[in-house]
Amino acid sequence: MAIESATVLAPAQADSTALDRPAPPAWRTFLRSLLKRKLACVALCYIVLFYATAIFAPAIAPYSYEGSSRDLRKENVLQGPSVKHPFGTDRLGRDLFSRVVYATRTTMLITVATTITGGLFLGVGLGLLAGYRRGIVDSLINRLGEALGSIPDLLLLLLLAATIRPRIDTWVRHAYGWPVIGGPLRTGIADITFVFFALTLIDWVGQERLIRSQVLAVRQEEYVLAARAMGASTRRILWNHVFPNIRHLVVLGITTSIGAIALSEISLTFFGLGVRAPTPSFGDMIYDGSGPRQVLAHPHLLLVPGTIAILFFIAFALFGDALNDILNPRTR
Amino acid sequence: MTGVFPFIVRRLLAAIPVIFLVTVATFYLGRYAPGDPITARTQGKASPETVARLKHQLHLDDNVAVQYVRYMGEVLRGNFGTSQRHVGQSVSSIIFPKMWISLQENLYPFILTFSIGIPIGIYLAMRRGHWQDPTVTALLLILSAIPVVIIIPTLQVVFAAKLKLLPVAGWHGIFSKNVILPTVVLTVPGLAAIARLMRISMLQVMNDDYVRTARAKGLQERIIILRHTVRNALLPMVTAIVGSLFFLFAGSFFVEYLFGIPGIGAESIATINGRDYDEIMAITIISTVAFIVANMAVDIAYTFIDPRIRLNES
Repeated sequence: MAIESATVLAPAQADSTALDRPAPPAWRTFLRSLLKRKLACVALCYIVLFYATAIFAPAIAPYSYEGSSRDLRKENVLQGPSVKHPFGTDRLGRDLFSRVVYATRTTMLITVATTITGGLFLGVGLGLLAGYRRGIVDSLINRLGEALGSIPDLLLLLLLAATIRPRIDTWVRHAYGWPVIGGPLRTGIADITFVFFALTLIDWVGQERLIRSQVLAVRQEEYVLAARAMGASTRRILWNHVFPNIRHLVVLGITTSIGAIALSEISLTFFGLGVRAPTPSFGDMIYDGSGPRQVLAHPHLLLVPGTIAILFFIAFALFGDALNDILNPRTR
Repeated sequence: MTGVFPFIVRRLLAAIPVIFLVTVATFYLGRYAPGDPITARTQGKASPETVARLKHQLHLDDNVAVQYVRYMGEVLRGNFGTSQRHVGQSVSSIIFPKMWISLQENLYPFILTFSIGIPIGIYLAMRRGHWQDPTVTALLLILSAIPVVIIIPTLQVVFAAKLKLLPVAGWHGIFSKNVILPTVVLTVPGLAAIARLMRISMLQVMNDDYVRTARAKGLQERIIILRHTVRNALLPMVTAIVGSLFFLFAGSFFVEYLFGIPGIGAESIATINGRDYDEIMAITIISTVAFIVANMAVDIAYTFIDPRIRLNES
């Protein structure tokens, strides 16, 4: 057995012969399976559209998200949809279409930054480390993950926002007048950074657990033992032999976590503890539009941001489900 | 071979560092925040001397580490301290009634999620390969993806303000009309997870030898499904039910906040905003312990259901 598998050292191929763990499909097969799922394709289109809007926000939005004093005039406030304002205006007379376009940017910044740092860098890095090194490193990472995982996410986020936030605010206000960083700080980048840090703290835990368990399984495989016997470095083993077998889980973990990250930001902002005015966020707009009396009088204030946000979450749920079907065939 | 009791002891010992980390972090976070319960309570109207005296009385001017050790000592004796926002009341006398309300609020959703989700899961498994399976799955996924924070105001407007069928908000026990909207909001998103868990469990059992034997014997499909498949497929559901039992008393922040239900979720928000140190600690400790015990109970439940699984693997 050992001799037999030592002759087929290429990891991905060797793995595909194993019957118990289906191999991650190749890129081409993956694309073909994805294209067969119409609903997932529609979902992916919406996601692409959403992020494209975020990237090109300044080019798409006809007005500024901050509004001006002229907007506050009575005839400009709380307008229903019209040619000039396709989604109407809010209670400060700001163009809702522009606000929504810039809100996608807040969602993009937070989901992308949190995913790269939490899901990719910390989640995959610590998962590889814990699963491959085991021992004390594994225990330490696990205990930290358990501690973070055992407090309800929103409770932890609210706690962080209520306690650390005011201190940060004091420092940030000090720095308003400073050259170079003063300008960006005034645009609310500190808020987004704070929410990003808080969400990163939570985001890595699930990904780390997933990766770790898979690494624990893969490291027992004969091709890993063979590579180690031949004196391959840890980095080489992890990158060439272990990583190809967890790649699909990384993609899957990230896709499923983006919805949760976006929802956490919206929830925090809804409670006034996330991104704050004038930086637009779906949480802030939904809060503004959500009082029953408000909804009756001006339904567009809830319906416009609400629908766009709901579609975002549905798109990620459907796309993530399709990915799970393709990449994790055991649960099909 | 390891029994249940040594397993519990080992898991509880392993939980000590986790609880220590969580409590230390929460404790320091609370003290790190600007403002304190005395200032929050007196709203700046008291003289600095009075504030200092009150702080001294409550030992809030001690070293934080000393405060932590003293507080945890009290917690081990079953005393969660005194509330600062509700003067003179113990934290226990405030949070336990709130948890009781959250438990009542979660009762119907708990029963409905499983009693609707399981039959849907069975149906999906039986319709595998037909159009119904992916369609219903997609529908459930869509329903579970809609954030409550958006759907609650919409439901309130449609059913309360427009149609005048149901009250907008408020809490009058589990036999009033007020409970209907929260129940819907707490039930529907959970259906997808339960239905899919049941579906996978069914599909796994359907491949087992005894189901094939039953079919080979020429038994009716209905009997095969009900007697041989569903009964065995339900076993993994037991662990899901055991796991959720521990979260029955955990309130939902949004549902309680937006429907005006005075449960523990709404209380948590108020507590954090009011810097009520002891209460924040109590809620965090109880949540953490419940989470750890729930995971342990799920693991133990697995071994009862499937004796092939042993507890000695961590």
